[in-house]
Amino acid sequence: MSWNEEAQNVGAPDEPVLSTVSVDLRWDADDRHGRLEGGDERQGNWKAPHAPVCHQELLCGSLTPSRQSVVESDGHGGGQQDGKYHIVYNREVLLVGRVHRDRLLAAAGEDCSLDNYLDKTNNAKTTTSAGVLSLLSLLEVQARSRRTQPQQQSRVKELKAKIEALKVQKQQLEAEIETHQNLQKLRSSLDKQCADEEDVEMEEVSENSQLLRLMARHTQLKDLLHAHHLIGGYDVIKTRQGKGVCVSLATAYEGVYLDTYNLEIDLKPTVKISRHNIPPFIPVNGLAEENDMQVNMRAFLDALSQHLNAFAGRKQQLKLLKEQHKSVEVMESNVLCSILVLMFKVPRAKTAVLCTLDYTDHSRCLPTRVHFECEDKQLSDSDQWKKNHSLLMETPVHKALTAMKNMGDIV
Amino acid sequence: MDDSARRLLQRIMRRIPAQMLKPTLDKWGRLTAAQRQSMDFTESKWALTEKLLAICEENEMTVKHITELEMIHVIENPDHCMWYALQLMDPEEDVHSVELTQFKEQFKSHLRELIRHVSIKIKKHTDEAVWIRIAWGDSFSRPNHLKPTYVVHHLQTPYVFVTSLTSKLKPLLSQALVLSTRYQAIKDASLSGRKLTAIRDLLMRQYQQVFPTKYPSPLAENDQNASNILINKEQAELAASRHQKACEAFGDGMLPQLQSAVYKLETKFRDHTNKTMTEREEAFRCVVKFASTNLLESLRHCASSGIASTPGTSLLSSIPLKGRNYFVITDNSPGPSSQTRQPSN
Repeated sequence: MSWNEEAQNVGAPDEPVLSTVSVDLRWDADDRHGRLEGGDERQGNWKAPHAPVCHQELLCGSLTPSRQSVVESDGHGGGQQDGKYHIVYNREVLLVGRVHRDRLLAAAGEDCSLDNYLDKTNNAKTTTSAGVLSLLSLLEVQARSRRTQPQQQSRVKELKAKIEALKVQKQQLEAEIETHQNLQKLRSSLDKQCADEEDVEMEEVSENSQLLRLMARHTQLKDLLHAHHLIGGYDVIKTRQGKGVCVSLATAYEGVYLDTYNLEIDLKPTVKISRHNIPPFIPVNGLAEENDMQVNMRAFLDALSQHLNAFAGRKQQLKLLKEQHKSVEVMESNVLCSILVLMFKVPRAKTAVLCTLDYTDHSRCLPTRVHFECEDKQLSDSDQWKKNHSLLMETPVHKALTAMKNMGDIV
Repeated sequence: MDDSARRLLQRIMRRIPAQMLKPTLDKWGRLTAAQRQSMDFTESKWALTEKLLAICEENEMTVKHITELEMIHVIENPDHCMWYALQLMDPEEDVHSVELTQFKEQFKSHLRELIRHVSIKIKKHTDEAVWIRIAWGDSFSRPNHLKPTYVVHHLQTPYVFVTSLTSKLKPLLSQALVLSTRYQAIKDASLSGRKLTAIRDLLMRQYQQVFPTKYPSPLAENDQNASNILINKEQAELAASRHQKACEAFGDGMLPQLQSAVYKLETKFRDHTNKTMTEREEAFRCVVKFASTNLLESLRHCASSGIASTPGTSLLSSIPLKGRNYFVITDNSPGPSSQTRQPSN
């Protein structure tokens, strides 16, 4: 049985329950149609116009409708079965309509005399219509008399309960505001202390103030982390309900953000890296061991960030070199961008210079060794090219090549 | 041009599909312009093969030149044979300074020390991959070019991909690789598949991985033609969280096209309703194989559409996490354990 609770416009709520209902129990033997508002043979379309109305009425009357969707027990033969649709009160039964349903049983409660109505067979018809109608009119009178006061009483109670709830909420909010204010004060004093590097003074040792201090420190650290993330450092968030963290390391070069790499680290039971998207030629595990990730996570993350930024920088330099200097041929490079062999063309001498750049320090963007090879020995020994040597050691390669082109050393 | 060269050329011509013939020959670059003109690519393959044989005779090409053609074809289309992944272990100090010429020389010299008659060809592809073609002979016979082994390695990474390698020759290749790349050991990575790009992308993590972030991306535009807007409203958040979890486990966007995953179970039979089987002492051996045109994509779809509950089982999400598709599960270890697997020919 499904209680269709779509709001029905059946008239004003304080109307007597039964007046608008055409509880016309004249049902014919043949067609078995009850003339009911909204009554429809088809199950799906049947609406219970009174269900919400009755609910309201019942609240007013401080009666609790015990709505039970129960299944009737007495078996019935096949074919159509008329079911009655009841709201059962403690003392009253209100017939609200007839509907085709398979089974219905309303627990009559104390009202045994109304069991008659629960029969599905034609017995229902045999009970005197007069009896039913008189009972229904009795109910109507009762409801009318109880209408006004009970309505107010229960409404008043409802509002009082709401007031209590709102008061409690207000108290909670006030407590929160107070905590927040204390926190702000502590935070500002903490920040000042950090700036002046004074010692922390323990004013009160009460639990509350210690907790507040911790909370203030927590918010300070969170803000620090956020600021770190904004300037292009790494960012940490908690995962797996606090059992792990995910670190995202951003890389940038010359003010341009490049790839972001992520690391998922388990904190319990042991501190170890569970997965990451760092390319295999960056020695993540090696760095973790070197910096003792278990003890000093920050050193490990700083070293890793340095390596990644340097790698991104070298990669970006290579990309810019290829874009800006198409006349320079890249003879060799590798995935780690730790070695670069370029071929320069010298304009007047019509010779080629082979330049090897070694980036053996993988945490830096600049080469550790620059070497020129040329057929003309004098060229590589000349002052000009010694200057170029130092230029390539100290400036990023794409900028160095631009400078060398401007000076006319290479084409 | 001797007989073996002729047979090799015929075999290569059979393998190259008709529409790839012209570009491959152009890339090979061993035919003169006139010879290229004389090849009429609308003829049947058999006729073209004959023509090409004649041209090669004319140019006095040897097996060496013809293997170049084969290598070009294989580099372009590596998906016709089974590739197996190997992993190099325990790097030495100078592993990062290995550069191409050094690697080439070392590899050739080491392999030639181990086996006398062997033909090695090394070529560096544009994407920094080093391709090696090895034709094996033994002490008595010349290298057999009809069954070459191809090896792909990216310098500075510990991964090597091989195809068509018999178990007899595997130790020789392993030793040469280990010595020339400055590592100390090599092991089987338990990953195999037909598509080289797929297994390479999986191992080197070249697909889009998803991590938990503070700022998840906004929901995609709702499909306005959806059947029921109310259902969408209710389900949108759930669907988004399922999708996020599925992407965290398997990845986002285009996933590497793995075709199969094999789980070899060596666990005890457990089923309360079947006493006879449960009472047996020894492990119940069975092999479970998942096969699909794109296995990771279908697993991700299972998780994101709600067919499988998230977070998914770690057995399935281990495939992208550990980069393997062969697992042996025993009772002692809670998760999938590693096991060596011999790549069969």
